[in-house]
Parts: sequence; C-alpha cells; structure tokens
Amino acid sequence: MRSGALYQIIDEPRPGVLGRLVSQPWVPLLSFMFVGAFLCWPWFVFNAFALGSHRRWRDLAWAVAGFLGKAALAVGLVAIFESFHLDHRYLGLGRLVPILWSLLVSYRLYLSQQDPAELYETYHAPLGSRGLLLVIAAGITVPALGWYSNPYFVLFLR
Amino acid sequence: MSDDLEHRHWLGLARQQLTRGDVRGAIEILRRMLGEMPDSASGHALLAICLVQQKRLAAAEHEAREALALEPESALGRMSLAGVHLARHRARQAEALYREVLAESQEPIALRGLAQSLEQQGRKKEARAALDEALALEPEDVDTLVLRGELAWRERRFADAEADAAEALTLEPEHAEALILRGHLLLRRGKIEEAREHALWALRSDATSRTALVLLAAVKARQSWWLGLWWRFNTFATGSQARIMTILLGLWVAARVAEQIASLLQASGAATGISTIWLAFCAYTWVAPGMFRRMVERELEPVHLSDRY
Repeated sequence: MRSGALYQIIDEPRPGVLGRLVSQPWVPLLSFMFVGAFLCWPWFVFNAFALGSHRRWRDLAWAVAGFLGKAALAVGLVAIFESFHLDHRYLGLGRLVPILWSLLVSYRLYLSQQDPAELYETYHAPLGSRGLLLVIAAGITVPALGWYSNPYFVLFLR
Repeated sequence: MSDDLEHRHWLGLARQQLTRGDVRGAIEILRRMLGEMPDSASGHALLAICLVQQKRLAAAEHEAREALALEPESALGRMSLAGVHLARHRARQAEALYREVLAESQEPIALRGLAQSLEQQGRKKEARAALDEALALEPEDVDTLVLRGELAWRERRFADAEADAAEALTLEPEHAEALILRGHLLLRRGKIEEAREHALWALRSDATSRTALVLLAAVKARQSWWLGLWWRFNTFATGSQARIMTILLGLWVAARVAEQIASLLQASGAATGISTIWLAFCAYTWVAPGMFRRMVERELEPVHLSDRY
C-alpha cells in the first residue's frame, strides 16, 4: 500500500470534537428510568451527533416524535376522560398509554445507538460509563425541586 | 508490485482471513485496500460478505450495490448482494440472483446460497435437491455437507444429519461448523459433556464463531435450569434485541394493567403480589444475562486457539 488512507464504511461513526463526551447508550436509558424523558431523549440525540452516528437524523426524528407523541397522547387522554365523563379512577389505566409510548421511544433510541457505540469502541476508544454522575445528580435534584408534583411536567416531560 | 498484482495480493489476504474466521482482520485489510483502490468491485463485494457476517446489513447492502455499480456482471457482486438479501429474509430476491449466477456457471457456493434461499421460502425439498446437486459437482465439499446436515437437523431427520456431520468431520476433523452440528446432535441425545467438548473444539478453530457460542450457551443452559430460563427466553426471542424489548414491554403492559385492575377491584393483596412478581422478574432479567455471560466466559478461559486460526 502506498499510503495509509483508509476506506470508510458507511455505518462507521465519524465523531467530531464532542466525541469524547459520548456515553454508553445504557447511561441515557438509565436517565429515563431515574429522571425522565426530558433528560434522556435530548441526551440520546447529543450522543448520536457527537458520535457521528449514521442514524443521527433518524434518532433526532424519534426524539422529536417522542415529545410530540407524548403531548398528543396526554392531551387526547384528558380530552377522552372529559368528553365521555369517565370516572377518574380509570385514569391510572389511561396513563399507561403515554408511559408505554415513552418506553417505546427510549428503547428504540437505545437500540439504534448500540451498533454505532460498539463500532466507535472498535475504531476509536472505549466509551465507559461517562455521565453516570449526571444521572445520579439529576435523580436527586429533580424530585427535590418538586418537578414531579407538577402534573404538566409529569404528562409532557417525565 | 503492479497495481493488478497488488490488488490480487490484498484480496487473497482478505479471503484467507475470512476463511480462518477472522472477519475483523479481513475488514481491516479491505478498508486499506479500498482506501487505495476505491474502484475494486471485488473489494466492495468481499467487504459486503464480511459485513453480513457482522450483521451490519445496511453497510453490507451499500457495499454490494457499489460492487455491482462498478461491475454489473460480477458474479461475486451478485452473490454478495444475494447474501445481504438472505440475511434480510428477502429470499425471493436472493434466489433470483443465485439463479442468475448459476445460469452462467454451476458453482457449489451459488447452489448453497440457492438452497438457503429456498429453505427460507419453505421449499425444503428443492433446497435439498440444490445441495445434492452441489455435492454431485464436488462430493468432498465440507461446507455443502454441513449445510445439508443442518437442513436435515432442522427437518428433524437426525440420522441423515448424523451421517453428513460424520462425513464432514472425516474429511476435515477441525471444521468448526461440522463440529457444532455434531455438538447439537449430541446435546439432543443428552450427551452434554461431549456436546460441550465439541463447542470448545469448534471455538479453537474459530474463536469468533457465534454458532459455537450458541452451542456452548445451550450446553450451559442445560447444566443450570435457573440461568437456563434466561437462555430459553432468549432463544424464544431468537436472539433479536428488538424482539426481546417488545416482549419485555408487552409483559410490562400486562403486569401494569393487571395491577391497575386489581387496585380498581380493591384487591390490594393481589396488586401487591403482581408488583412483587414484576419486581422479581425485573431483577432476574437484570442479573441473569450478566451471570450467564460470566458462566460462558469462565468456560472459554482455558480454550487455546488452534495454530491455524
């Protein structure tokens, strides 16, 4: 070989300057479990762009769809309960729908980022569990700020 | 070295790595080669074959199409694209491509691919005929023998599978896939220790063999029913992470709905019971995969790679 030029395969991550801030996909997923979608989904999007993942635009689309879908489901749920005068005892069952949607989006983003993260580790450096402290800090701070007692926060961002 | 000679040298080296089971090594060689010679259709096709083995199917399809754009008549290019179609379960498209290659020359490798695409469509009799045809062309082709044995195993014709595995191992005693097939047959007969030895033996020949690891995991699952549950759950989900997630989410919905209904019926004991079972299940799915992996890893520690690898 005359030079060290390497052919780039399309699914290889192309990390930029923020590449060193990328975390393993399970860390943002953990943030969904302990904090909420408002931290998890933007984090996944940041990870995708910093990683230079070939699925970064799709991940962004999923995150945007996640928030829009969550809002639509929450509004729809309230509208159904109000228009059909349903007993509020059943609200617990209805609330499962937006939660399920949030879980679906989170796992979709997690699965989408697993392969690029693995390739990043193969071609660049191990990712480690960066960001874990942020999850712990947010897990303590957010409840202390009382955000979870705000029903709008819980419906649209949790 | 002239460009053509250099091209063939690197392709040969990549093929050698691939035959030895070192897919990552083959990819590295091809990346270097294609960095210098981006117009090599064979390089792109071979890279596609490697990427299929790593299950990087989008990239594999891109490379196979690149190979065909550079050399539309390339048999290797068509077979690499057919391989991608097979991996994506687009059996009819794969079949068409293999038939195109076979119309030009009867090659066992294309017949093997054709057999796999036919089997995916449930046309097992035709698949068997294609493999018999390949063996008529090259009676000592171990890869074809193993594929025919695997087909017989899936069709529960165990005696035929045993015969093909035995013949393949007589011809090539260290053939990883033949060892794995024999291992599965032994496991079926309850010979756990012998099956384990076959899995480890196969891993000596090809340390990256997923199928050998699957066999070893199946052996370990038989030895520990507690961790075996996780393995059976995984097998049920056919190892697809997306399917596992879907099943887990489905179970979560079922548990939460049951819990809510129990609360509405004011059966607080039942609601607590459901929550506890769900919590135990979560703890199990969190802990079991790691424990199971460590158990398999411990088993792998004393494995020494064969000199050929």
